[in-house]
Amino acid sequence: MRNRTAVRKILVVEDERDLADPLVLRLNADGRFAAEAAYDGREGLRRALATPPDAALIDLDLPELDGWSLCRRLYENPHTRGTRVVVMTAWAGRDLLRRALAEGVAKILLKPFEEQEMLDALAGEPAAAEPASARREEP
Amino acid sequence: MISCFIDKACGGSLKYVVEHVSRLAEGLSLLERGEHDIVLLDLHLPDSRGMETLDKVRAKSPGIPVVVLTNDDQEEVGLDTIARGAQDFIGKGRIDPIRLRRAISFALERERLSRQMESVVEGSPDGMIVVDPGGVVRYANQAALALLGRPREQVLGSAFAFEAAPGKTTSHALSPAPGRELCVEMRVSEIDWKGAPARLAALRDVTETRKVEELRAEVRERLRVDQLKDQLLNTVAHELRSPLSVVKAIVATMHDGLSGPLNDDQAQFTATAMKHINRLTRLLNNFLDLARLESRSARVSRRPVDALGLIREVSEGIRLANRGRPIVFLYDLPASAPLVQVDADMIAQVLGNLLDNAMRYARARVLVRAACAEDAVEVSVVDDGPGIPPDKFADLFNKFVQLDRPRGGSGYKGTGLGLAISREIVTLNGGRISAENASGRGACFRFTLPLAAAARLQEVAHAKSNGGP
Repeated sequence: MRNRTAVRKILVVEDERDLADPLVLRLNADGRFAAEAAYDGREGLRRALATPPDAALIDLDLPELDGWSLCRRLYENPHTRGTRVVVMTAWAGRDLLRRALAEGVAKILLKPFEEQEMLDALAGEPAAAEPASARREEP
Repeated sequence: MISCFIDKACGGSLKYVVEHVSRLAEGLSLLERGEHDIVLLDLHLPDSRGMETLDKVRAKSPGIPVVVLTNDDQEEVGLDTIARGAQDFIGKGRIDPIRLRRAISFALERERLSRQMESVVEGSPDGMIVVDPGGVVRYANQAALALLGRPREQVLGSAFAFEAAPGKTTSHALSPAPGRELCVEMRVSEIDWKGAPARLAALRDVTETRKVEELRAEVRERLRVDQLKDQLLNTVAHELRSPLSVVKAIVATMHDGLSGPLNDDQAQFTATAMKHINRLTRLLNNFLDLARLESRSARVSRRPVDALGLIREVSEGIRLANRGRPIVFLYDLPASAPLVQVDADMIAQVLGNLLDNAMRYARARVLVRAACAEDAVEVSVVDDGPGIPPDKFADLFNKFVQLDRPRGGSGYKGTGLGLAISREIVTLNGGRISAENASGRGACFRFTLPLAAAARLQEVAHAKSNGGP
């Protein structure tokens, strides 16, 4: 069991700095998270492998390494398999939702999204399946 | 003497009834009765001589085989009679019962075969036209006449309108009647016609096939345009969402004091900005929804759905979101309802829209009602607000129509697209949507959800078992 009182490490991967920075600010202000940003897919992967985060907030349109590929690389690597992956995108569509579920994504956020929605999504349990009861105990 | 031979000749298995006349005029009047199978014809009669005799008989009864009895054994006379349509000839000097019988049998059989061949060509669904080397039409079957829209006597002997080049397939436009346009495909082959080279033009009506092909091309083109439109919509959506998300994240950060404390004015301004950013987001989402619905590029995935479960889930969500408001939520739902065949996400959006509206206009109460009809479940959302002004009914479900907002509202402003979206969705799901003023006060919005096929069958079975003895 994870210690629920511990601060969760969050990696935000978003090439739009204007969005990434206020999101990181919001996450760090919340108290439950310690967030940092990477501004392209390759950098995101490098940081994630160097220090596996508890959760990653990943934009799907990324330079260098696109969001889907990054999700897959995180899932395929034993060090980051347990990272809870939340994706954000400005592309709406049911196909997207289906693919996200197939890729093991915990939550998909359609831009512009509510901050609370993002906080809830990242506060959820990591990707490794845990009993539903454990999930319900989340703050 | 001939009669005598015929009597002898007819002694075999073939049965004949013979009528004998000695003048052509008598013969022709007998032929009028149409009872004869064959004519044995002497060319030299008291009232007619030579080939003329044969021509007259052929003209009178073109379908009856003729065996000519020639005065002598002259081959050329005999062959001439064949060329003029006689089936056979026998020299009188060489006549005997066996020959005569054989000649009659052969003539009958030849006539039968030639009629059979003719009927094959004549009855062909494709037009068949024989054109001589001079370009003159020598033969045209029924189908050809129908395609040309002209009677046989006009077509035969006239010049053929199209260049008949063997081995090529060509397309032609024909108009057999005013206002009737046909597209005809022509193939030409070389044949022998009455001993001379000629061309056979086969004409096939491909009007319908072409129409189908054109229709297919049109459908392909429309799909392509729809895809382009869809792509454009997605791109526009993406381009609008990205900057909007940045603005929202930054203003929210400021508004929540994450970038430093705000004075009262600043707090008020950022709150107003947030309200409008949220409105812009709703407007964008609604606008894109509606564009997708109207262009029919929205994917509708209709499955059997538990209507009551869906209604409870959506209504509870809205009720919880409005917990702070002094509005009572009432349900009037049947204990059970058959499955409906709808796209659950889309219908949830409709019910959400209607409930949102009701919450905005209601004074004290919102009622969600469901009832089972013969082929659908009918859902109503009723509020106790001011109701719909009579002059607004006509375009209530049109785009950007908003009723006067209730006084003292929460400041939530609609997009004017909710009802238009709802109507599109309900229609796409095979239902109907309508609005009326509730008895007493308030508005009532109603929509139907068609029953799933399985549920319909069950209903039928149920009705039968109930109605049975």
